[in-house]
Amino acid sequence: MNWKTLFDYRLDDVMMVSPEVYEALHQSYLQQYVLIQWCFWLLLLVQVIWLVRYPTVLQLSLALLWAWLAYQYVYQTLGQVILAGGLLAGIVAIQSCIHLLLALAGRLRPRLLRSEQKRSVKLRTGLGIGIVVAGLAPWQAIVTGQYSLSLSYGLGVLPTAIVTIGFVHLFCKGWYRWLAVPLPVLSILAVLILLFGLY
Amino acid sequence: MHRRRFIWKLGCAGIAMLCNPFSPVSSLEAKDAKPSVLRKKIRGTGELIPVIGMGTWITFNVGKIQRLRDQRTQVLQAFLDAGGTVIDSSPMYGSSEEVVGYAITKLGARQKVFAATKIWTSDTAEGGEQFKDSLSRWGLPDFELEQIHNLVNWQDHLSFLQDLKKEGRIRYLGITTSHGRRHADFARIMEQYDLDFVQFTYNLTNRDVENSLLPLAQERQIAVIINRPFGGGGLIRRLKQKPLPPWHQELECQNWPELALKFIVSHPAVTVAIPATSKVAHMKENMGAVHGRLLEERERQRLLQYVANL
Repeated sequence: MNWKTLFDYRLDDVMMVSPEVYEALHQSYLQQYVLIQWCFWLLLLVQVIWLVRYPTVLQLSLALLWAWLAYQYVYQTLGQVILAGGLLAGIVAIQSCIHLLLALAGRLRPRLLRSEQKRSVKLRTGLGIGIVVAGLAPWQAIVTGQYSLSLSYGLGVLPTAIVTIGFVHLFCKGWYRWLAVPLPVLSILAVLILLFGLY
Repeated sequence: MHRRRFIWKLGCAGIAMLCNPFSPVSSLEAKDAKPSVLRKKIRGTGELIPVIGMGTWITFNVGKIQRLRDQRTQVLQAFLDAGGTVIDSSPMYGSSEEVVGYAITKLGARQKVFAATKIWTSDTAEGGEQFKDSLSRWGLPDFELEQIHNLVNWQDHLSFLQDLKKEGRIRYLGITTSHGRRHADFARIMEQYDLDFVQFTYNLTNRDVENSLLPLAQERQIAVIINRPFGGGGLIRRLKQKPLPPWHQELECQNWPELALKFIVSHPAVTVAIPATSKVAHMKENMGAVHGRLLEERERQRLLQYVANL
């Protein structure tokens, strides 16, 4: 194994996709799955409004969201043009498993998934709605200034990561919440680096 | 011998010498029977290949998007129509090999291409699998040229490529690097091993190899492929904003891509340059450099000076 050559690679070498292809992939992803994306967002919104007392259900929804992201977005969509799409999808799928574990832990220890008692239900509902709305923003278009990327909202990495970080802090307490934060933060960083390299 | 028979044989020998591309009468370049496709000789075998090929890094990595696949097929069509044959790709380039294979199959161009790809894996055993996968993606029975990409695990892969060559699965083997990386290691391998091709970066603003790898390749009779002739696109974008040299017509070049490419392929050590593009119009511009004539050294220096003063 020639380890030396690994350090030769720079951002240039990782940017194997042109902006044209990146945008075309997102448009195709949105056109194919627009209905499913809206279903997910409505599901989250409904839970925030009606089921805020049952954060276990929210954790299961987030688990489903990350599983979808891993398979459909990373593996099937981005995986067409990036190397190791399967490996990256596997890493993203770990987040789904974390939410499943949190949901299970919440069933075993209900207080685990309650935020501080001083927060009222109305406040948590309001914050939850705010997070979902924030997740719907076309962040890639905002960050890059590229209008063509305004089509890539919804079940992409940035919206999903933002919603996850927001919900975890809203509905979890103690050090357990930090289990669910690193991967979303890393994925946000990865996307920002990718967008920087592309644009 | 009768005089008449002697004169007849002399005439035939003369015609044969003029037609033979390997003849000392012709130099390293020869013109195709069709109007002016510039070709250079692969020194080991004397095979002639056009001086402009096609790279596929990023440009052909379009995944399964049908609209883009068809558009890249048109780019390949323009390349082949202009007389190009050498196509360079790699498993590192995402879906590029697959898209090239799609385009070649759709155009029925399997016999028309000089297929060059690479092995890019640190795992010795995986090299064989990667070779077979590449063949499957390109839709070809074998490759003309197989290279070790960026010197990754080159010691083990080189012996694998030598075996492939003996079996006739490839005709040539080589090594590649880019961006000016690892030139010392590269030169050492060129000196110690029997290579058919080397590939590295060289262009109007990156001439590091002029005093190292290029003369070494010439001395060792190794064919040279030049990647990043436009500096990844940045060089040509900057040049296009500047006026052409007033004497560009003397060089038989109509635009900056032709000038930049002619500068490169006119170096006596260079065999072929492989610019990459995703647009038909740009491909036609690039392929302008496969026609006309090569530049003399004083013309190359004049062009270099002009660009330096821009």
